[in-house]
Amino acid sequence: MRSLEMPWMSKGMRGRLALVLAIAILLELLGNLALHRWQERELLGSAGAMLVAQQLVDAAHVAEAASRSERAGLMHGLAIDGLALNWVPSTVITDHSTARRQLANMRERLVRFAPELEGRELRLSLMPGTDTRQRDLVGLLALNDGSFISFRVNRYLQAPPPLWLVSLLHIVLLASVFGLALLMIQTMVRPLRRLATAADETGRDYTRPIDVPKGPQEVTRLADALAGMQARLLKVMRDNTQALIAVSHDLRTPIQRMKLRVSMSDDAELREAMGQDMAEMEIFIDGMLAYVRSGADEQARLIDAAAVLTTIVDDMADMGTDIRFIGPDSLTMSVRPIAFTRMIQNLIENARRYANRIEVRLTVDESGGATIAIEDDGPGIPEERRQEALRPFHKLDSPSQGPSPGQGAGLGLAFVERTLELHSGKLRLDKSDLGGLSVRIGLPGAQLADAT
Amino acid sequence: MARSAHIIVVEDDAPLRMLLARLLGECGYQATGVSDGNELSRVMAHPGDRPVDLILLDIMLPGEDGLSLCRRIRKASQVPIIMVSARGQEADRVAGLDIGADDYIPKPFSRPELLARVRAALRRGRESRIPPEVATPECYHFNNWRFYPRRRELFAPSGAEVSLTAAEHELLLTLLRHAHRTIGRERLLELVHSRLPHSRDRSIDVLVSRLRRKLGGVRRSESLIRSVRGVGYTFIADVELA
Repeated sequence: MRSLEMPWMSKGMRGRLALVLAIAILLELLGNLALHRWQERELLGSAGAMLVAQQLVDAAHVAEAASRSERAGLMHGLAIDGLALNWVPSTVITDHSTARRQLANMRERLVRFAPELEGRELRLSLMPGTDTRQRDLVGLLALNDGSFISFRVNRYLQAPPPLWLVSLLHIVLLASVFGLALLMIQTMVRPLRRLATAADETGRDYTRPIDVPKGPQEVTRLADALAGMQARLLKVMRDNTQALIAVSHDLRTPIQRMKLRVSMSDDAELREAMGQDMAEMEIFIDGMLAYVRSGADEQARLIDAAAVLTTIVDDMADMGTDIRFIGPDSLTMSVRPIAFTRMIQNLIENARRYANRIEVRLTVDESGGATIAIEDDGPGIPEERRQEALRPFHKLDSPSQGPSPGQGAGLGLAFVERTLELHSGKLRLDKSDLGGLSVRIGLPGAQLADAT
Repeated sequence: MARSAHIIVVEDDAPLRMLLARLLGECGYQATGVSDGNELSRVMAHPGDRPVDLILLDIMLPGEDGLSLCRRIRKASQVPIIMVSARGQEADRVAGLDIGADDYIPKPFSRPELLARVRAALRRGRESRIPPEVATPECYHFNNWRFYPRRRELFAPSGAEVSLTAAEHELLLTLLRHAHRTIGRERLLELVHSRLPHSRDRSIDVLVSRLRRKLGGVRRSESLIRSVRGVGYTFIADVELA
């Protein structure tokens, strides 16, 4: 609502809220007043009032000239359509015009049309009408001997509307004022919601820069602060990533030198031992790079996931691992191929470290959800420590055995989780029917190649 | 072969360059280390009595990088080139093979890995005096499948990429090269393993059955690779080169 951005409006949140509140209260008040007026609208026009005033003055003259016994009869004769007249020696009717503004107005109008009435006592009151639910004006005009002319103006006030109608109108009024106020507050709060969304997305893979919205001062300031924080945060993240990548890359040349130097050594035992040390370093670096990248710099492509699994499994089986693949020959999926392959290699490598026998199972359900399960016969992870295993740089070492050699940087499962996040996949750790750990990956959008 | 093969090592890290030269020297090759593209051009321009048989080319070089060097060399010469780059740079591998490198070896590599690749590259360089472009076409088409041997990529009719092990890749390439001809088991094994540095000798039947599974012909009647009893295997689909 751009129309609300007016220069005279307060720039701050408090001022805006106060304004909304004031507007709401004012509207409610005006609405109430209008409703009330509508309920009490008069049926007697100017001409009618003039006629009544004239008739009353005439009646007073006639009555004062006549004897008391004739007065009632004379008054009946002066009655006109809509105005009944009578003479009473005394009365119990009192004046209500001081309590009711409408009656006071009526008195003023009557006096204006017939100034003579001013000197006389005039009592005005309301009475329910005889035939309809409209109300009549009942009045008394004092004569100079202390008796009164009583008069009744038929259909003076509109009938009061039924209670349900009045209630309904009040509810409608309240609801519209409330709705309007809500709308105004909504426009004030909307930028906050957008800020929250932008903040939520920061640090995920698709980070939109925070734009500073128009709105209350507090919101623009908050947006400014958040945008600054986002920029700093992203820069730190980028710098860290770059530094990690650079370090990992730079380590490769010295490792390469060491590898070649060792291979030229005559000491077979040293060659063997250092070869293993360096293999560990390589695993560490690969894990680090994989975690930092996690496939964020790669496009998703259509691949045959079953072929990827069999390729990895066959390669490992050829190297002497007891591993086999159970599943369809072909299963097409759209994934980031390098990250996906690394993720599977990572999980199998993990299993191989702790287990002797590994099974990789691939299944797919009717809705295209693929499940890749890596089952092993190793020691597994107790249920209460499975969550812990997912944290980056965290290694589960059992106190009895101490940290086992060659287990990498402890980035394995954390990397897998990050990769899965990119693929809207899920990870579950379970107990395997082979006796060890079962790592189950759920991925959407798989398609079995038809048998033709 | 009267003279030993001459290998140029292009590597900007001096200690590593010397190590590589020494290692290759110990294995009976003549090795020349150069640190960048300019030096390489100088050696290539004046080989004297030592023609260059193989270039070991690092991708990350100061000044002109390995990829652009490789492209430049290919314009003038068909000398075998092995690209060297940090592991995990999949893009480098594809790019390198795309612009005409013969092989790719990720850093850090081991001594046997390097020697096996060097031997294989040299053998191919000697075997085929025909340019490698002719020897290895860009793409093979068969039954709606596409196989890009340089990039080592195989695509199913659905468009999905099907990954292959190194041995499967060599087997498929060998079969495609000799389509409609029956190749004996022994010969097939020899062709496949000549290019593989450190594969355990899987029987050729295991390899063929793995490849068959990936090519989708589960049922024997549909298989693109037909067994010829007691002899070997024949690739029966029509193969188009592109």
